[in-house]
Amino acid sequence: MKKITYIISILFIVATSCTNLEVAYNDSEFVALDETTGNIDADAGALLEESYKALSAITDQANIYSLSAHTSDLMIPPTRGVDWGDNGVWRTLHSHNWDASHAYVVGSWNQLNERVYNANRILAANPNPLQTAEAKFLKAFYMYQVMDLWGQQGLKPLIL
Amino acid sequence: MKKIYKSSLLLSLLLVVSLTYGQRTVTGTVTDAATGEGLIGVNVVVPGTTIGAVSDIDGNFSIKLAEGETQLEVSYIGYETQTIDATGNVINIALSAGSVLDEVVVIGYGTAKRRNVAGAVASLSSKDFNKGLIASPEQLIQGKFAGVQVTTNSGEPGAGINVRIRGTTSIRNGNNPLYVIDGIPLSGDDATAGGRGGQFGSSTARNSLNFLNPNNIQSIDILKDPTTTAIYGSRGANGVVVISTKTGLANRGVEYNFTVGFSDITKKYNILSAEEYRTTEGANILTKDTVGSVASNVDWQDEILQTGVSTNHSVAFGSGNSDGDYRVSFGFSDQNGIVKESSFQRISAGLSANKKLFNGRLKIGAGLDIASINDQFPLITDNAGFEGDLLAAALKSNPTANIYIPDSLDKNGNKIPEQLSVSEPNPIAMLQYSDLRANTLRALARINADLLITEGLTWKNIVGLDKSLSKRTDAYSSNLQAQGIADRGRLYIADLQRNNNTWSSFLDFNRDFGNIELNALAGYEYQKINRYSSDILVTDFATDNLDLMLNNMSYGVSAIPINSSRPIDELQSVFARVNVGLNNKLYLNGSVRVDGSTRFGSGSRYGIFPAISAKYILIEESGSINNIAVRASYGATGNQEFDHNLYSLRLRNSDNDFPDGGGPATTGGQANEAFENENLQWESTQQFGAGTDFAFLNYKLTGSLDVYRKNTQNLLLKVDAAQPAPAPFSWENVDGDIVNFGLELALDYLAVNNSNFTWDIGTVIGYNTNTVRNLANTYNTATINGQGLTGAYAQRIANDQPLFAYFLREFGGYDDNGISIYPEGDVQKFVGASPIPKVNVGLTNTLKFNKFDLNFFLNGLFGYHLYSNTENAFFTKGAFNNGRNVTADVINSNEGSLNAPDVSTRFLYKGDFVRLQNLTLGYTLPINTDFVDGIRIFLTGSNLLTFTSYPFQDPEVNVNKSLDGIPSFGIDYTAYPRARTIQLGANINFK
Repeated sequence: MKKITYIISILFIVATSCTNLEVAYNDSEFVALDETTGNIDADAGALLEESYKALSAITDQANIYSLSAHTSDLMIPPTRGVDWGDNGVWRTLHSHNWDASHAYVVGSWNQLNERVYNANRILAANPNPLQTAEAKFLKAFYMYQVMDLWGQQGLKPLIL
Repeated sequence: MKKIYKSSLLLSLLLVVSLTYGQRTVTGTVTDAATGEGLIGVNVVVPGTTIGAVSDIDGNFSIKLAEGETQLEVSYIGYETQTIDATGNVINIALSAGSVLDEVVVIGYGTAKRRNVAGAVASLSSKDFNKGLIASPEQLIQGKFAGVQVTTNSGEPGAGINVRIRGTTSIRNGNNPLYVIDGIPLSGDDATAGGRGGQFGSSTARNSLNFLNPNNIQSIDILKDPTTTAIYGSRGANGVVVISTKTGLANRGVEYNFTVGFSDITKKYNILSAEEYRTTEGANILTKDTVGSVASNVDWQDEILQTGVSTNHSVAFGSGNSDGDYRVSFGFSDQNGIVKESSFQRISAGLSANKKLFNGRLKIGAGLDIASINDQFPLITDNAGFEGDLLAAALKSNPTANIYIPDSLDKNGNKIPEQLSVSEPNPIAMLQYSDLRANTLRALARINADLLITEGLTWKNIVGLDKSLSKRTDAYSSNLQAQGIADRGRLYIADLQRNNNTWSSFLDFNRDFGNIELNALAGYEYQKINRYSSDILVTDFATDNLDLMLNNMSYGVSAIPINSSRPIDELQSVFARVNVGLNNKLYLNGSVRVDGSTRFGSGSRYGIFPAISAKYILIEESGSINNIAVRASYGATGNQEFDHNLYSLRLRNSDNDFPDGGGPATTGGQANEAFENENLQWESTQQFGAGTDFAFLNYKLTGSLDVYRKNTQNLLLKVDAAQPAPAPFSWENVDGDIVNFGLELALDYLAVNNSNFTWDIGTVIGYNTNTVRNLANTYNTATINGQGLTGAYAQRIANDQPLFAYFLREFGGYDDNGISIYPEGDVQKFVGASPIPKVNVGLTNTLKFNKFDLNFFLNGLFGYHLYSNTENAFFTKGAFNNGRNVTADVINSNEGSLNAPDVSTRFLYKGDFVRLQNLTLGYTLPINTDFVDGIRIFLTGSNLLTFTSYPFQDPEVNVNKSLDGIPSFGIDYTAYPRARTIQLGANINFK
C-alpha cells in the first residue's frame, strides 16, 4: 500500500507540473487578421514609411536596375583587372543567356513582388485617404516594373 | 546564486552525517589478476542491498555485514563481476579484466551493461582521451570513434568544432549532436556572441563547450543508433554525446596536473619574399606609387605570428566510499595562439558530491561546474572583402613596404604603422588599433535524488541549471584606416545571456527473474531555454585610445542600438524504455519518446519517436572465440535545432547600423520574421542499423562492425514563395530526403600483454556517403569573397547530389591572352566533388614498458575536396598586378593580369590527409614517500606531421560561408592557421 502511495504521489507531482507549452513572445509583434473586414491591426504610417525606404532597392547597381540597364546596351560593366568580373553575373546579362536561377533575376522578382505585398499590407491596415493614395501609387509603381521585366503580373489577395 | 548556496550548505551538512549498520567487519584487498596491482574504486556490495564499500587506492576495502549476510558482489568497470563467499573476516579478491560485453556503458537516463544494449554504443574513458592542448571535450575524442567526425574549424584557440555522428543530416545549421552532461541536456547554442568588424567582416563564436575543464571528464559515450538516440526524441537525429564527469571515487588523494606547451605554425603560406617580390618583373613599377616604399624587407606572416605559450594547471581532491563521495577541482588554462593577440583563458572550478541516506534508500548528489572564460580574438573573420582580414592582409601586403612610418613616434612613444589606404590595411595597424575580447561566465549546476521505492524500482530526479553571461567588446581605434572606422572609431558591445533549466523525473525498474532480465524506464522531462542578446554600436570617438574607448565610453558621441532579442523555448516530453534479456542470449530493446516543443507549430506540437532493436549472442566461449553477437535496430528521431517560433505571423524591427561607408545611422524597419504555418515541425530521421560485436583470443582481439542507413525528411527551409504571393517567404518542411549510408569498423588488439610490457592497438574506420533525394528546388551556398567576386558562390544543394556539392566552372587552363578557358562553357555545374569526407580513419597505439608509456595517434580523412577562397581572392595574377603579394606559383603561371578569377575548379583541391595527431611519451617516477605516491612526467607533441596534397595551410578547415541561412562546408578562407604544439607536463598524486 505504501508503495502504491509513493507511485501515486509521483504521478501526481509529474502530472501537475505539465505545461501547456505556451511561452511569452516578447521580442516580436504579432499581427492579427480581422476575418470579417480583411483588415490587419498594424500601423499604416509605419508600414508606409517602410515602403518608401524600400524604394532604395532601385538605386542598387544590382538587381532591378541591372536587369533594365545591362540587358540593353544602355550600360556595360567592363571587367577591370580582377575587379567587376563578379563571377560572370554582368557578362550573362549582357550576352542575354541568363536563366531563372540568375541571382539578379531571382532577386528582382522577389524584391518587386515583396514590395507589392507590402503595399497591399498598408491598404489592409486602415490607412487614411492620403496613405491609401500613396500606397496605391507605390503598388502600381512596383507592378509596372514587374510588367516591364516579365510581361505579366499576377494578383493574389492578402492572406496572413 | 542563493539557491546554489543553499544547496551546497545542505550538501556539506549531509556529508558529515554518516549512517552505518551491521555487526561484522570484513576487510580485504582487490587486485588485478593479471598484474597483481591493487585496484582503486572497486565496488564491493552485499547482493540485493545497497550496503557496500569502495576500495581505496591500494585496493583495500572494509565493509560491515549484518548477521546472516555471507556473500559479497565485487564489481569494477572493465572487469568481470564476482560474487564471493564472505564467511571469513579477511578476503582477498583477484579480478580479471572482463569481456567488453560486461562493460557498463552510459545510455540515455542511466547505464546498462554493454551486453544488454542491442545497439551501437561507443565509450571512451579518460585514459584513452587525446592528449595535447585541449580546450574542449570534443577534441578529446577526435578520431577515436568510428563514424564520428570531429573537425575543428581552424587553429584558433577554442575554435568552433563540427561533430558529425553518422553523417550530415540537415541542410540548415544544426548538425551538431545533442550534448548531455551528467544527465542534463544542453541547449547547443553559442555562449558568446560572434565578432563584428565593419569592412573586416564578421566571425563566428568560439565553441560553447569550452567552459568544461577536460581534466574533469571521466568518460564520453557516443550514442549513434536509434536504440539509444530515440530516447532523446526530437533532439536525437544527429546522435548524442554523453559526458560523465569525475566523482570522488576516481580520485587518489590530491591530484595535480601541470603542462606547459609551445605552439608554432606548421606551414606558412609560400608567398614571395621581399627580395623575390622586388626582382619579379612588372609588379614593382606599378606599385611604387600606390603601395609605398619598395625598400623594406618585411615578412608580414612573421610580423603577426608568434610562438604561443600555453600553461594548464589543475588540482583535484576527493574521497569516497559506499556511503558517499565528493570531489573538488580547480583548473587554470591559459592558451596563447600563434597569431598575436589571440588567446583563451579559463579559470574553472568543479564540485561533485554524492551521499546515501536512510540505509542507502535515498541517494542524493550535486554537481557544479563553473568557469570564467576570457577570450581575446584575432581580427580573423569569415567573410572579409578584398581588403582582407588580419591574415589576408599579412598574405597580400607588399613585402617591400614599411611597417612603420620612418622615425615616427606617437604620444605614447609607440611607432606609428604606415597605412596607405583602406583597401590595403597594414596588419600591424590592425593588431595595434583593435581590441577584441569577450568575458563569459558559465555555470552548470545539477542536483539529483534517487529514491529506492521497492526492490529494483527507483525513482530518479535530476534538476539542472545551465546559465551563462557573456559580454563581448570589439573596439577599433580611429587610427585604423578602414571604412567607417578611420577618424571615427567603432565599438561594438554584445551581451548574451542564456538560461537553460531542466527537470527530469523517471522511474527505473531493474529486475532479474531467472531467465529474464528486465530493465524498464518511464519518465517526464521539462526544459526551458531562455536567451537574451543585445548589441550596441558606439562611434565618433573623441579619443583614439582603445582603453578609454572601452572604459570611458562617453568619448563616443554617436551610438545606436543594433538590436536585441529574447527567444524563449520550452520542451516537454514523456519517454519510456524496456530492455529485456532472455536466457542470456537474446536481448530486445524498445523505447519511445513524445516530445512537445514550442519550436513546432500548434498543428503538430507533439512528435512521437519510437525505436526497436534486437541482439542475439551467436557464439559464446567456444574455442578461441569468446563471443560473437549480431544486432539490428530501427527507429525515428528528430531535429529541432532551428530558430524559435518560425510558424506565426510576426514582425520585428530589423537591425540598425552605421554604414561602413560613413554618414548617419541607417535605421531598421518592421520586417516579417515568419508567416503562419501551424504545421511547422521537426526534421525527422529514420535510421536502420545492423552490426556485430565480437571478441576472440581471450578478449585480445575485440571489435564491432556496423552498417547504417539514415533517411532525413521534412527538411526545414526558408522558402521563397511563388510570386506573386500572399507572403514573400515562409518556413516550411520541404519534401526531400537526405540519405546517409555508412559502414563503421572498430578493432582493438592487445598485441602484447605481460607484466612489464603491453602494447595495445586500436583502429577505427568509418565510411559515409551522403545524397540528397527528391528535392524539388536547388539552394546555393558557400559565398565566395574577393575582388570581382560579388555574389559568387561555390556550392549547391540539389537532387541526387551530396549535401554541399561543389558547383563550379570546369577550369581548362589559359588562352594566349592569359584568360581562363572553360571547356564546358562559362557556366557553373556540378563537378562530382563533395566537401564531406567519405572515409575517416584513426589508429591509436598504446605501449607500456616498465615505467615508460608511449602513445601515438594517427588520423586521416579521405574522399573530400576543399575550395580555397583564399587563393581565389588573393593568389591571382590580377591581384599581383594590383601590387599585392602572391604565392610563388602565380608568378610562373600563364595567367594574364586582366583575367577575372571566376569561381572554378582551378581553386578546388583534394583535402585528403593523414596526420600524426599526437605522440606522448611518459615516465612514471618510482616515488612513494609519505606525501607523494606517484609522479608521471610526459612530453606530448600535437599535430606533428601532416601528409596531404592540399597546398595551403591545413586541410582540416571549415570557414562559415553561409548564404541566405544555408550553411556551407569545406571552404578555406584565411582560416586561423594551425599549430604544432610541444607540451611538457607532470601529474603528481599526493597522499
